[in-house]
Amino acid sequence: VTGKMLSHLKVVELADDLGAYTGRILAELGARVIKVEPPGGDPARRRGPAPAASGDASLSWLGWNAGKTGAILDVQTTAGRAAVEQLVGDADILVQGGGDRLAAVGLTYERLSEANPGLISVIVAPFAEGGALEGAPASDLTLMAMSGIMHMVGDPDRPPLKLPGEQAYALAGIQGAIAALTALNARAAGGRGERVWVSAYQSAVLAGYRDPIMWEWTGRIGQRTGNRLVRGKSGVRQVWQVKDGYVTWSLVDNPNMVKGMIALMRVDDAAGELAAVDWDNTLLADAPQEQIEAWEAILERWFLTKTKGELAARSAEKGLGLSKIDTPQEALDSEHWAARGFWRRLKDESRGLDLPFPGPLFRSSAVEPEDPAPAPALGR
Amino acid sequence: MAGALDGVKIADFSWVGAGPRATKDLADNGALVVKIESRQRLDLGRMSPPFKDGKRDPDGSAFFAQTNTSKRSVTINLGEPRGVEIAKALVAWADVVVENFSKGYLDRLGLSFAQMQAINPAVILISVSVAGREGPLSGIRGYGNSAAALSGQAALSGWDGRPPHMPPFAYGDVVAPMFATVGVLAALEHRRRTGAGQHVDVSQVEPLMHALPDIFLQHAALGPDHVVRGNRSLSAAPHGAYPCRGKDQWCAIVCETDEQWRALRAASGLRALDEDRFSTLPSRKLHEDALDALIGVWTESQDKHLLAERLRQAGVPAGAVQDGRDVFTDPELIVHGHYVRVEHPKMGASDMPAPPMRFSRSAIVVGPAPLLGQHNREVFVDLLGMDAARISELEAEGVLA
Repeated sequence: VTGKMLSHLKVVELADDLGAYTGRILAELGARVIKVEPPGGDPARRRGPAPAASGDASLSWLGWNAGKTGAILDVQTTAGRAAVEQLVGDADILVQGGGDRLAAVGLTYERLSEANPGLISVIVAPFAEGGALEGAPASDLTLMAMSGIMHMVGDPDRPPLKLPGEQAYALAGIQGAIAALTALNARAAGGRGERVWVSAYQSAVLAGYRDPIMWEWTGRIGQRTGNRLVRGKSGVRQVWQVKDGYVTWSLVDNPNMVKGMIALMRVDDAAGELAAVDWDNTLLADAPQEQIEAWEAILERWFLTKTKGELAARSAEKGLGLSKIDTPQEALDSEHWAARGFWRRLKDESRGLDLPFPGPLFRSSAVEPEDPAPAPALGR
Repeated sequence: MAGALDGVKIADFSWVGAGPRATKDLADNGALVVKIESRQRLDLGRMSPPFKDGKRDPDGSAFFAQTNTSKRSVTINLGEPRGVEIAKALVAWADVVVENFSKGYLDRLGLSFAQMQAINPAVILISVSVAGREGPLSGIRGYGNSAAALSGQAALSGWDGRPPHMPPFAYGDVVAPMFATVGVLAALEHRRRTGAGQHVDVSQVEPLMHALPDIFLQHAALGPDHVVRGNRSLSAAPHGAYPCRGKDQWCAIVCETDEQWRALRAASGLRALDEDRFSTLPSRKLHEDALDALIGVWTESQDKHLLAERLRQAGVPAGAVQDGRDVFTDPELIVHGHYVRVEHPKMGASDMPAPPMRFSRSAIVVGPAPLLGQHNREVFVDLLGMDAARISELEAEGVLA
């Protein structure tokens, strides 16, 4: 086990909400990330509730910016621009959120890369560069709306629904990290850095892998189906109430998982007509909806007699693909994530905080996970 | 122009979504990705609709095609010891091996990470699984939705007063492979610097939790009551999808700043929004039901695209809630090459999504997904130097099948 993977890299970040996760991921991998904020601080510091102990940043901001160090520089002034230019002069990666802010004040990539030819400049913006929408106002919700994902999330009798948190920003932020590391590979081969523009809108569209191709190939427009997963001609239920909460499992085309679940039902003499179906020769994606729902009614009655724990244990033992639906508290308390060292402590003495914090990104045989450093204090 | 990942060699044993979406990113950027498949154990992605002409065909799935662009495909029956030997030759060839088998499967083949290192000392192994390769739940099997369930994401999703929500697409099959891509690229950089490979163990659940740092900190510091489900936000109002002209048509409208709020009031001309109870964000949050109702009455006669455009022009974040057709036909995506037209041997000319980034120097080249076993000769003969006649024999004997 050696040091972190990117501990040799210096990253300069100018981002408020969009792009902050790119810096966060690079910091997670060990890079030294310096977040440049305008006088008065990043406006995103004031988005959402702040912890009682400290007023310099919201919890949301502390989450997206853990592991970074800070600098306050005013790029509207000559002195501020000179300081940024110096900071970027020996940086490996420059991350900008929202657009090419530095080019707007004369610090174009051409200029910055003349002094630092290895510089990789990543811009994470709502929309593509040079397009009709470049510079248009956007937020996480409006990007999710446009992506095609919201249209299929939620219940048919309610408006389209976003995913929890800020997933368009998250997706674009991860794509920003992928862009930076992809350019790093090219730099290793050719010695020069390059400029990469990431579109948050396209990042979110790419995540929605179903509806655009469904229309392209079948002319069908998807509809919100609540908790049903539609495959081919029918939809299968994904959420089941049990004695003490909820579990997820579906009648999908994996005959072994289906037969295994039915074997458990037979022990309780609750399988009914499910016991007689030839699952190996049944394509569930092609089964009529009424048939699926008749089968699911039998499952529903049986699930209500079981607990999350016993179902999850049987599923793990037999590989049935069922999962408990954990609340956030259950995810925080889970022995499994504890054993993997996933929940670290965000210890922030200056703000009087000591909270569980998600990460690392993955387990690596080369790197020992460490607790993250807190997000920078205002003006530090 | 060259691809940013030209020269990177990847032996990809993964299937369905959680691994293949990662290697698609890498292949589109120039990596040579050899996808190891088998007719004995078809990638379920090849059997996922929609299909070309509606016919179920392992080479005709549009889902598979968009998830596996730019890759090569070989067929190896890993149930055959001679097949395993050839798989080992690919491990020896590769910089990176990607897999999402059930736990223990590779060990039984003699391809544990330690055994891979014996063949290829600097190999990078990327494993993607629901709960990761270590820990008490590491044996669980499932699909991308299990990740939403275990991460708290499903419980956080949906409307107050209703059960947890699982949308009909597997977000765990989306975020985890992006983390796997990050893992491949970071591990390659680490190897360039130190010469050492590594095993990267990606869980489908952990990335979903990692991408919710705001929510988990709010939950831990303030308690579960401060975490909102539905479309609303603690830091913006309005923040929702509002009804528009036509069946199931909606427009998302957000005001995060006072400036955006003033712009919405001016653009809408709604006198009711001038009331004192809407003058500040905390006050709008307090009267959000009334606020949403007023805006909804104003929006419901308007076209979602025209409304969104008009609000954006006025400085208000807005976006039409787009369905699959809206997305596929959006000029913004067409003009900027989000879809690349490729000629697929079975599916014909088809539009495949490109990575959502544009490099100033490196080329992104999106090619068609491979037919099952299309590149057996190219890979086994040209890359591994095996004898062509021997390949034909092994194909006939069901080893390379």
